[in-house]
Amino acid sequence: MTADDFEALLKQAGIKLPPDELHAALPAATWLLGMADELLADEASDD
Amino acid sequence: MTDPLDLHLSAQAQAITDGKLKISEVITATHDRIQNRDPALRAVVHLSDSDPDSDGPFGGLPIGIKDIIDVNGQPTRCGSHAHTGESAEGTAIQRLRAAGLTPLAKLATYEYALTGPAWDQPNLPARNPWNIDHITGGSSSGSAAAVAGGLFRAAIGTDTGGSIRAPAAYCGIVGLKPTHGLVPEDGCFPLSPSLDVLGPLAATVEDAATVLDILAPETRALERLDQPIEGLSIGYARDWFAHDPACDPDVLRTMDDAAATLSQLGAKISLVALPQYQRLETAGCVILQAEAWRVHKDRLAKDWQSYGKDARRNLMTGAVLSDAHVAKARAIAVRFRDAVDQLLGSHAALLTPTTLSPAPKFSDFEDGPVWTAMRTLPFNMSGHPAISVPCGLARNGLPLGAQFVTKHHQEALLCQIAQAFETATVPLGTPTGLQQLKTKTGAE
Repeated sequence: MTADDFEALLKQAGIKLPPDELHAALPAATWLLGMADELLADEASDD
Repeated sequence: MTDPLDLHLSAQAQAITDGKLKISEVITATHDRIQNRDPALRAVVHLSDSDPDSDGPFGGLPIGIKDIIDVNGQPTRCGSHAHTGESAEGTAIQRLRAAGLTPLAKLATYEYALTGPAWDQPNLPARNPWNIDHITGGSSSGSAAAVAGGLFRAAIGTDTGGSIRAPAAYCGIVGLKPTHGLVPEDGCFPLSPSLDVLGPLAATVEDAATVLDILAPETRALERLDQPIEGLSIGYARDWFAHDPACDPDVLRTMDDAAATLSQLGAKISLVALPQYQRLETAGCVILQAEAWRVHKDRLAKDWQSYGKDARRNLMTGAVLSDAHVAKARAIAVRFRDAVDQLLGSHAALLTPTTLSPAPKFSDFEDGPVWTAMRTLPFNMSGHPAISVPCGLARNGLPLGAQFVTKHHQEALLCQIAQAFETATVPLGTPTGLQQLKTKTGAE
């Protein structure tokens, strides 16, 4: 996920962050998305 | 002679009924302890000066309340500069008052029951009474510090992923997470409604059972105390944590000792297997972050700057999750619940550690949030009741907790087993940090 992707998701909720704050928040969001995607893939193989 | 504040709640109430103790003496002594100890513990964020609720059977005895739960006449800050205003207190606080327990103080919480410790909240983080250079854990940080520090026999906390049990374990006290939905949640600011549970942190299992019976009268946990556990089958989920690289050797030692103690009490201990932990934690995080995002996104849109930096960055992660992520996470939760129910079909309770290490140091958090290994969140996903009971000290002198889990709505059995274990275990004694408190009240 890019910073632009994350910014777009936040803007959908009406949240506009300055670039420094956006980049500070990005690593945790990227980490969670990666873990959640792994879960999806893992689960798909279970079903 | 034992200080009356160090008696069980029921013993204090009996002393008041018998005319051997006045509620005014208890309130004054509690204020004195808060004055003497809290500058170092930093557990109390608001102290009430209203009269005690002395009509019920507990005669007005004081109890502490986590500051995400509304109490009439007291501010609720949720540990955040972003939170203002008061709401009407809910059913749980009304039940405490009706029983004669006085909500005397609001106690520190990690911001919105999320992440901590943090230094940009309205109050500095609460400190561990066993060593004030260490965290209490959270998010019921002040509730754990206040009970372990002897300010209150019991306090009310909330538990979304371990926020009652983990700080109880880190601080050497009892923390009870009831069955999801057992204790009414109205009047409590939500974090993740499908996981949130309100319950007691207490000095002993008896005190926790006393408070639970008030919060959920149908539980009748006190009636099961002081009964033997001989013949009960307890499943020890040793492989669920023993091979985790994050598991402190002291945790494995004390947990094996706990299993041995239960065996000496006549319980039948057998090893059981639970589903792989990491996948459960990920699924739990997905559910929690998605629900917390829904709770907070409109507030963040209006005023994200008022949140602490760790809290807002944590909350905004929820924006990236899709309905498909959440649906898969919930499916994993259902399967875990079924797996636990199946084990509890042939075992009275399960045994696991609460956390996989003692409380970390504050200095570990200077550069931001730190992940700490626990075994709590899956039981929020499954809704099962769980209790953390002190099970010994790590080599650094900090407490560790054993966690018991029973079927839904079997809190009475949970307390019976936990109290039998507590009674058979060498008491931890007075928190070593209370000596530290007398000489050190400055920064970490």
